[in-house]
Amino acid sequence: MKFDFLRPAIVAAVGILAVASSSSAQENFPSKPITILVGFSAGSSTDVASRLLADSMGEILGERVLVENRPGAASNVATQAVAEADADGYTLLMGTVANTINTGLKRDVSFDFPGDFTPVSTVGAVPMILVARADLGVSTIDELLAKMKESDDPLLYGSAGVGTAPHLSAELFASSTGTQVTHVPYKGSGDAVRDLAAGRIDFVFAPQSSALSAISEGSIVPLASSLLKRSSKLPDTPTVDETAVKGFDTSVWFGLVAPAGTPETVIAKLNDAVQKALASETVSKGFANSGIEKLGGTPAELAEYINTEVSNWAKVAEDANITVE
Amino acid sequence: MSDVLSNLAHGFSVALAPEMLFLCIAGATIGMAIGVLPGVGALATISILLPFTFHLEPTGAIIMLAGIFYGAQYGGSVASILLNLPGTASTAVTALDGYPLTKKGKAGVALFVTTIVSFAGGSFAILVMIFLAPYLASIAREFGSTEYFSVMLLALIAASTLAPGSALKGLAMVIFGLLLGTVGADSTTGYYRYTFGNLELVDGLNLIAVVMGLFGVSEIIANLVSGSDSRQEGGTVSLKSMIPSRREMSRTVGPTGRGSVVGVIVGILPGLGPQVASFIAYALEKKASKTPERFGEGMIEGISAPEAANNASVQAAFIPTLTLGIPGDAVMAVMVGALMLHGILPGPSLVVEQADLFWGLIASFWIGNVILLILNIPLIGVWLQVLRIPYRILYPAILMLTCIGVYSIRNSGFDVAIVLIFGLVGHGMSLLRLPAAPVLLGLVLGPLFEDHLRRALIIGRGDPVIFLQSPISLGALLIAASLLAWIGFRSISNILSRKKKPEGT
Repeated sequence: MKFDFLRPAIVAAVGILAVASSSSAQENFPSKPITILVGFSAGSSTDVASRLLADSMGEILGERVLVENRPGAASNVATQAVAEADADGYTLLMGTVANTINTGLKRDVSFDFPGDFTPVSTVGAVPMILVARADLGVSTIDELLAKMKESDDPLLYGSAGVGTAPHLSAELFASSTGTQVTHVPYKGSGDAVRDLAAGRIDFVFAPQSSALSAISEGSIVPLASSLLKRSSKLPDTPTVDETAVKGFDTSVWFGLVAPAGTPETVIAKLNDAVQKALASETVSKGFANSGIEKLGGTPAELAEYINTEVSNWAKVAEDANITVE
Repeated sequence: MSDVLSNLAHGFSVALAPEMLFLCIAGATIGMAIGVLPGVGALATISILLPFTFHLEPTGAIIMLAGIFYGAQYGGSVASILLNLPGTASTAVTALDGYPLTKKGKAGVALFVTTIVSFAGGSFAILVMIFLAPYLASIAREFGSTEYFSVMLLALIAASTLAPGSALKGLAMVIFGLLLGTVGADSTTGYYRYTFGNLELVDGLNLIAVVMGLFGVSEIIANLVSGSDSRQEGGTVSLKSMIPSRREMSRTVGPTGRGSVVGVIVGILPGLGPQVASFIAYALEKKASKTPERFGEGMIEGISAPEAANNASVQAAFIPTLTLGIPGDAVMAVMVGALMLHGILPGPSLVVEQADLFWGLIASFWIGNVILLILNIPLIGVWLQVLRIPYRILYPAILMLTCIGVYSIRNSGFDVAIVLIFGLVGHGMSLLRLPAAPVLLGLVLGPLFEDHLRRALIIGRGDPVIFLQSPISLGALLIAASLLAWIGFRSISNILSRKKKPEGT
């Protein structure tokens, strides 16, 4: 109570300091904890990768880097929150393939991805594995295509849900090979793989992390992987690109982005921290064990990658006639 | 058999090492503490603690995370019994008879019983896991959408008489719950339903927010409106007043056994979760009881069955997670993530290749459950003191904890608003004497029901005959049909006997 008279003076002093320090704020970055928002719940590949990265970035930057899960609406809840956040580098988004698909599907949202964001760095990607049920009797992608063409009913493929990377990858695969398929949506790839292993559906494009267990057990058969490069976990499995569809390149990728207007020096510091974190042993080992391929690179590279992805997915959605409105 | 015992002995040697023991105790205690706080779930806690496990040995990491999960089940019933403030849908079922027991001044007995039956349910599931895990895991494979749909239908019919009072009102509230369950993205087409442009509604209403509004907040509003402190005086709490009488104890045996079996079965099936186990166990107990009309008035059976079931189901959920690599729910998905991070792939080979981890974890379950039992009994006295806190201090504190808890689930301020809205809805419902539990039943089962029906039909290429082709599905449908016939027969014979004896009511 009796210090009330001091309050205006303190406010004024803080104000002056704030103005004076705003230019040096960028050099002192970070001077408080940084939060990375993740649009998926804990335990997802994106979440695990974010937590590993954040842990290591914290050590490098000398400030804590926190991960906050804001799941909902295929990561749009988190994306909207970051789009509306201060562009000071303290609130970041782990952008993913879902963001570019959402833009491609033209969901009605109040923000613009990628327009409202500044890329920081690509982080990693989980390849999807084209897996078939064991009793379908196919062991290569060509045999699957033959099966698809001779079957009376279109084959059934499972996915993690409408508008997910596994869904659109399978549609891209079908339209590129001129085959007919029927979509069976699940809540997440784990459920789809479980039904595949039980022989209820015919094939799935499953993120490697969800498929490895059933593959090693032999209840599902890996036919191809979805990145241009073979998966380091399944070196004997060819890529879709080298077998059936030239140029086929999809994955569950993720990269760090900041709100548009974040100062360049801050972005540079963050990018530097990401590269160093990716080189650290904990992150390398954690990524490798979890089946995440390590990426990284400059902000410009991520920007270009995002633009390519957005136009690719928009085309897939159009070709497969997928509308969500 | 001797194999299993030597494996188990090995497991105990792993789990009793000082570091493992510490992690087990820490996990179970943290879990229990967060379980007591309404709304703060195991998932939020486990995700916050996940980074700590990066630097731990995988066995220790999973022992600690698992401890949080089952520990939370022990704490969860405290607030629902004492304050009608369930933190999850599964403890909402416990509140149905638990809170009336508190009103009768038997809170101590209720807490004592739930602790014992939680231990019994958990232990039963652990035993099943030790001896039958490999065989049971394959059951999970037998269940596809066709089977899930038929079993859900059976559960919905069996549990529709969940709440006391008018059957018509109960049915109306189940339908209200089913309708609430349609909010969110249509899983088959991706269209947004009833989201009103709000992204927070795309994944549906947050179940826990609805539970806390309908039960806890509406209870607070009701007490504020009545304006008087209607509670029994707590008085002194001696150990004696907590110990149930021999008769009360013997009444828990059957419900605990049946609840444990229900819990294990539901736990093994991925995607159902402890709340479905609680609902089915409660409904089964009510059907089995000679005095079903007294459920909801404070029956010991009504708290024993669901508490045994939800503890059994969280332990049993580890069976498909570890032996098939199929995480049944969000918490299990984090566990799988934590294991994979250390290069361990859950699956059939885990039991053999990671014997230390598998048997160490199972041994730690038992150690954790014993510790929770020892911790909880003396704590009952402490919890009972909560009842003596004046409302003017207790209610603001509860509201604040509720808001923090609900916010922590997915860092969403919108969910806090949902709690408030459903608090008002719940108060309106209690004024109209509409039961709240059937709403939850509809909301829990509705989305599962819809998903599985539509998926089964896609897989069956539109032909409903698939529901009759699977033996499990056919069996469930036949039981459901005979249950309906029995309910119909009973109500007709009731009407007839009433006509014969018009003087009797």
